[in-house]
Amino acid sequence: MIGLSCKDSSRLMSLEQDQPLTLGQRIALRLHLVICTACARVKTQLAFMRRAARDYPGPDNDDPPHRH
Amino acid sequence: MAMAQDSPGALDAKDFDRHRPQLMKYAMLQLRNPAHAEDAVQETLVAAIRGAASFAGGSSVRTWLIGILKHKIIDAIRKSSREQSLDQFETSTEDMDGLFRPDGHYEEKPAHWGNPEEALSRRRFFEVMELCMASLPKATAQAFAMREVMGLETREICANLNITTSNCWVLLYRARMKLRECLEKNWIKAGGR
Repeated sequence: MIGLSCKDSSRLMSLEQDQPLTLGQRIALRLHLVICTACARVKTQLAFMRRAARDYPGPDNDDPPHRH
Repeated sequence: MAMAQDSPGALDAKDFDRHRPQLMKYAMLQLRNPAHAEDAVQETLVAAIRGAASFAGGSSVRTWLIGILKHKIIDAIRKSSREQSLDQFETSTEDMDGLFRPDGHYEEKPAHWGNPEEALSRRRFFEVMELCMASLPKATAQAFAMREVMGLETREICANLNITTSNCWVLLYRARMKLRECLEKNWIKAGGR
Protein backbone atom coordinates (compact mmCIF):
# COMPACT_ATOMS: atom_id res chain seq x y z
CA MET A 1 0.00 0.00 0.00
CA ILE A 2 2.99 2.32 -0.32
CA GLY A 3 2.62 5.08 -2.94
CA LEU A 4 -1.07 5.90 -2.78
CA SER A 5 -2.86 7.89 -5.46
CA CYS A 6 -5.41 10.54 -4.48
CA LYS A 7 -8.11 8.11 -5.49
CA ASP A 8 -6.76 5.40 -3.14
CA SER A 9 -6.35 7.99 -0.45
CA SER A 10 -9.95 9.23 -0.78
CA ARG A 11 -11.20 5.66 -0.29
CA LEU A 12 -9.06 5.13 2.78
CA MET A 13 -10.14 8.45 4.28
CA SER A 14 -13.78 7.51 3.86
CA LEU A 15 -13.16 4.05 5.33
CA GLU A 16 -11.34 5.67 8.26
CA GLN A 17 -14.56 7.47 9.20
CA ASP A 18 -16.20 4.10 9.78
CA GLN A 19 -13.56 1.67 11.02
CA PRO A 20 -9.94 1.63 12.19
CA LEU A 21 -7.45 1.29 9.34
CA THR A 22 -4.75 -1.36 9.38
CA LEU A 23 -1.24 -0.25 10.30
CA GLY A 24 -0.15 -0.49 6.66
CA GLN A 25 -3.09 1.63 5.53
CA ARG A 26 -2.41 4.24 8.21
CA ILE A 27 1.25 4.55 7.27
CA ALA A 28 0.53 4.75 3.55
CA LEU A 29 -2.15 7.37 4.11
CA ARG A 30 0.04 9.45 6.39
CA LEU A 31 2.91 9.41 3.90
CA HIS A 32 0.55 10.52 1.14
CA LEU A 33 -1.00 13.32 3.22
CA VAL A 34 2.41 14.80 3.94
CA ILE A 35 3.03 15.46 0.27
CA CYS A 36 -0.50 16.04 -1.04
CA THR A 37 -2.35 19.28 -0.22
CA ALA A 38 -5.47 18.16 -2.10
CA CYS A 39 -5.94 15.10 0.09
CA ALA A 40 -5.00 16.95 3.26
CA ARG A 41 -7.83 19.37 2.45
CA VAL A 42 -10.27 16.55 1.85
CA LYS A 43 -9.36 15.03 5.21
CA THR A 44 -10.27 18.19 7.12
CA GLN A 45 -13.37 18.64 4.98
CA LEU A 46 -14.62 15.15 5.82
CA ALA A 47 -14.17 15.92 9.51
CA PHE A 48 -16.07 19.19 9.09
CA MET A 49 -18.89 17.45 7.19
CA ARG A 50 -19.24 15.00 10.04
CA ARG A 51 -19.60 17.84 12.53
CA ALA A 52 -22.09 19.64 10.28
CA ALA A 53 -24.19 16.49 9.83
CA ARG A 54 -24.35 15.99 13.61
CA ASP A 55 -25.56 19.58 13.94
CA TYR A 56 -28.23 19.11 11.28
CA PRO A 57 -30.87 20.63 11.01
CA GLY A 58 -28.84 23.51 12.40
CA PRO A 59 -30.01 26.65 14.16
CA ASP A 60 -33.75 27.23 14.60
CA ASN A 61 -33.46 30.63 13.00
CA ASP A 62 -30.90 32.64 11.17
CA ASP A 63 -27.92 33.47 13.28
CA PRO A 64 -27.96 36.83 15.05
CA PRO A 65 -25.88 39.52 13.36
CA HIS A 66 -22.19 39.05 14.06
CA ARG A 67 -20.46 41.76 15.99
CA HIS A 68 -16.71 41.85 16.28
CA MET B 1 -57.10 14.03 19.22
CA ALA B 2 -55.67 13.11 22.62
CA MET B 3 -54.21 16.01 24.56
CA ALA B 4 -51.45 16.00 27.11
CA GLN B 5 -52.44 16.07 30.77
CA ASP B 6 -53.10 19.58 31.90
CA SER B 7 -50.23 19.67 34.34
CA PRO B 8 -48.23 22.86 34.89
CA GLY B 9 -46.00 23.55 31.94
CA ALA B 10 -47.35 20.58 29.97
CA LEU B 11 -47.04 20.79 26.23
CA ASP B 12 -50.09 20.16 24.14
CA ALA B 13 -50.78 19.10 20.55
CA LYS B 14 -50.50 22.71 19.33
CA ASP B 15 -46.94 23.02 20.66
CA PHE B 16 -45.97 19.99 18.64
CA ASP B 17 -47.99 20.64 15.55
CA ARG B 18 -46.20 23.86 14.69
CA HIS B 19 -43.03 21.81 14.16
CA ARG B 20 -44.79 19.61 11.61
CA PRO B 21 -43.39 21.34 8.47
CA GLN B 22 -39.81 21.03 9.69
CA LEU B 23 -40.28 17.43 10.74
CA MET B 24 -41.79 16.69 7.34
CA LYS B 25 -38.76 18.22 5.63
CA TYR B 26 -36.41 16.18 7.80
CA ALA B 27 -38.30 12.95 7.10
CA MET B 28 -38.61 13.63 3.37
CA LEU B 29 -34.89 14.21 3.05
CA GLN B 30 -34.27 10.69 4.22
CA LEU B 31 -37.33 8.75 3.09
CA ARG B 32 -37.94 10.42 -0.31
CA ASN B 33 -41.55 9.30 -0.18
CA PRO B 34 -44.30 11.71 0.91
CA ALA B 35 -46.61 8.99 2.26
CA HIS B 36 -43.84 7.33 4.30
CA ALA B 37 -42.61 10.70 5.57
CA GLU B 38 -46.15 11.70 6.54
CA ASP B 39 -46.59 8.44 8.47
CA ALA B 40 -43.28 8.86 10.31
CA VAL B 41 -44.17 12.44 11.30
CA GLN B 42 -47.68 11.47 12.37
CA GLU B 43 -46.35 8.63 14.53
CA THR B 44 -43.81 11.04 16.02
CA LEU B 45 -46.48 13.59 16.95
CA VAL B 46 -48.71 10.92 18.48
CA ALA B 47 -45.79 9.57 20.50
CA ALA B 48 -44.87 13.11 21.55
CA ILE B 49 -48.39 13.85 22.80
CA ARG B 50 -48.47 10.58 24.75
CA GLY B 51 -45.05 11.25 26.19
CA ALA B 52 -45.37 15.00 26.70
CA ALA B 53 -45.02 14.60 30.47
CA SER B 54 -41.61 13.01 29.96
CA PHE B 55 -40.26 16.01 28.05
CA ALA B 56 -37.56 17.17 30.42
CA GLY B 57 -37.03 20.61 29.01
CA GLY B 58 -33.39 21.53 28.62
CA SER B 59 -33.24 20.75 24.94
CA SER B 60 -35.66 22.50 22.62
CA VAL B 61 -38.99 20.90 21.76
CA ARG B 62 -37.79 20.59 18.19
CA THR B 63 -34.68 18.67 19.22
CA TRP B 64 -36.79 16.35 21.33
CA LEU B 65 -39.25 15.74 18.48
CA ILE B 66 -36.42 15.05 16.04
CA GLY B 67 -35.03 12.52 18.51
CA ILE B 68 -38.33 10.63 18.31
CA LEU B 69 -38.58 11.08 14.55
CA LYS B 70 -35.14 9.51 13.97
CA HIS B 71 -36.39 6.20 15.34
CA LYS B 72 -39.50 6.34 13.18
CA ILE B 73 -37.37 7.08 10.11
CA ILE B 74 -35.06 4.14 10.80
CA ASP B 75 -38.11 1.86 11.17
CA ALA B 76 -39.44 3.11 7.83
CA ILE B 77 -36.08 2.65 6.06
CA ARG B 78 -35.82 -0.87 7.44
CA LYS B 79 -39.32 -1.71 6.25
CA SER B 80 -38.93 -0.34 2.73
CA SER B 81 -35.46 -1.89 2.32
CA ARG B 82 -36.96 -5.29 2.96
CA GLU B 83 -39.51 -4.67 0.24
CA GLN B 84 -37.31 -3.27 -2.51
CA SER B 85 -33.70 -3.95 -3.41
CA LEU B 86 -30.90 -1.51 -4.01
CA ASP B 87 -30.56 0.09 -7.44
CA GLN B 88 -27.62 -1.47 -9.28
CA PHE B 89 -25.93 1.82 -10.11
CA GLU B 90 -25.69 2.75 -6.43
CA THR B 91 -23.42 -0.22 -5.74
CA SER B 92 -20.88 0.72 -8.43
CA THR B 93 -17.99 3.13 -7.83
CA GLU B 94 -18.01 4.23 -11.46
CA ASP B 95 -19.40 7.70 -10.78
CA MET B 96 -16.69 8.39 -8.18
CA ASP B 97 -13.97 7.12 -10.50
CA GLY B 98 -14.98 10.03 -12.75
CA LEU B 99 -13.74 12.46 -10.09
CA PHE B 100 -10.19 11.28 -10.80
CA ARG B 101 -7.88 11.25 -13.79
CA PRO B 102 -6.54 7.88 -14.99
CA ASP B 103 -3.34 8.50 -12.98
CA GLY B 104 -5.39 8.79 -9.77
CA HIS B 105 -5.14 12.57 -9.31
CA TYR B 106 -8.25 14.70 -8.84
CA GLU B 107 -9.79 15.98 -12.08
CA GLU B 108 -10.50 19.19 -10.22
CA LYS B 109 -8.31 19.92 -7.21
CA PRO B 110 -10.32 20.27 -3.99
CA ALA B 111 -10.40 23.90 -2.84
CA HIS B 112 -9.20 25.32 0.45
CA TRP B 113 -12.29 25.81 2.65
CA GLY B 114 -10.81 28.30 5.11
CA ASN B 115 -12.65 28.21 8.44
CA PRO B 116 -15.90 26.47 7.59
CA GLU B 117 -16.99 26.20 11.27
CA GLU B 118 -18.62 29.60 10.98
CA ALA B 119 -21.18 28.01 8.66
CA LEU B 120 -22.56 25.95 11.54
CA SER B 121 -24.34 29.00 12.94
CA ARG B 122 -26.03 29.78 9.64
CA ARG B 123 -29.45 28.48 8.66
CA ARG B 124 -28.55 28.96 5.01
CA PHE B 125 -25.63 26.56 5.22
CA PHE B 126 -27.93 23.78 6.36
CA GLU B 127 -30.33 24.57 3.53
CA VAL B 128 -27.44 24.10 1.10
CA MET B 129 -26.58 20.83 2.84
CA GLU B 130 -30.20 19.70 2.42
CA LEU B 131 -30.09 20.48 -1.30
CA CYS B 132 -26.85 18.57 -1.60
CA MET B 133 -28.28 15.57 0.25
CA ALA B 134 -31.40 15.68 -1.91
CA SER B 135 -29.20 15.41 -4.99
CA LEU B 136 -27.76 12.07 -3.83
CA PRO B 137 -29.31 8.76 -4.90
CA LYS B 138 -31.78 7.49 -2.33
CA ALA B 139 -29.90 4.68 -0.56
CA THR B 140 -26.70 6.77 -0.64
CA ALA B 141 -28.47 9.61 1.16
CA GLN B 142 -30.06 7.21 3.64
CA ALA B 143 -26.73 5.56 4.45
CA PHE B 144 -25.11 8.96 4.98
CA ALA B 145 -27.97 10.22 7.15
CA MET B 146 -27.89 7.12 9.33
CA ARG B 147 -24.11 7.27 9.68
CA GLU B 148 -23.46 10.99 10.06
CA VAL B 149 -26.74 12.60 11.08
CA MET B 150 -27.98 9.83 13.38
CA GLY B 151 -24.58 8.40 14.34
CA LEU B 152 -25.34 4.70 13.76
CA GLU B 153 -22.55 2.15 13.31
CA THR B 154 -21.93 0.84 9.79
CA ARG B 155 -23.05 -2.64 10.84
CA GLU B 156 -26.49 -1.36 11.84
CA ILE B 157 -26.76 0.69 8.65
CA CYS B 158 -26.04 -2.32 6.42
CA ALA B 159 -28.64 -4.31 8.35
CA ASN B 160 -31.26 -1.55 8.09
CA LEU B 161 -30.67 -1.19 4.37
CA ASN B 162 -30.51 -4.96 3.98
CA ILE B 163 -27.24 -4.77 1.98
CA THR B 164 -23.70 -6.19 2.19
CA THR B 165 -20.88 -4.42 4.02
CA SER B 166 -19.08 -3.66 0.77
CA ASN B 167 -22.19 -2.09 -0.77
CA CYS B 168 -22.66 -0.11 2.40
CA TRP B 169 -19.09 1.12 2.12
CA VAL B 170 -19.67 2.25 -1.49
CA LEU B 171 -22.76 4.24 -0.46
CA LEU B 172 -20.90 6.07 2.30
CA TYR B 173 -17.94 6.76 0.03
CA ARG B 174 -20.20 8.17 -2.67
CA ALA B 175 -22.14 10.28 -0.17
CA ARG B 176 -18.98 11.85 1.23
CA MET B 177 -17.34 12.54 -2.11
CA LYS B 178 -20.48 13.94 -3.71
CA LEU B 179 -21.43 16.04 -0.71
CA ARG B 180 -17.92 17.40 -0.49
CA GLU B 181 -18.07 18.43 -4.11
CA CYS B 182 -21.57 19.88 -3.78
CA LEU B 183 -20.79 21.90 -0.64
CA GLU B 184 -17.63 23.23 -2.21
CA LYS B 185 -19.52 24.35 -5.29
CA ASN B 186 -22.64 25.73 -3.63
CA TRP B 187 -21.36 27.06 -0.31
CA ILE B 188 -17.62 27.66 -0.34
CA LYS B 189 -17.29 28.92 -3.92
CA ALA B 190 -20.62 30.73 -3.68
CA GLY B 191 -19.02 32.78 -0.89
CA GLY B 192 -21.04 31.24 1.94
CA ARG B 193 -24.42 32.40 0.70
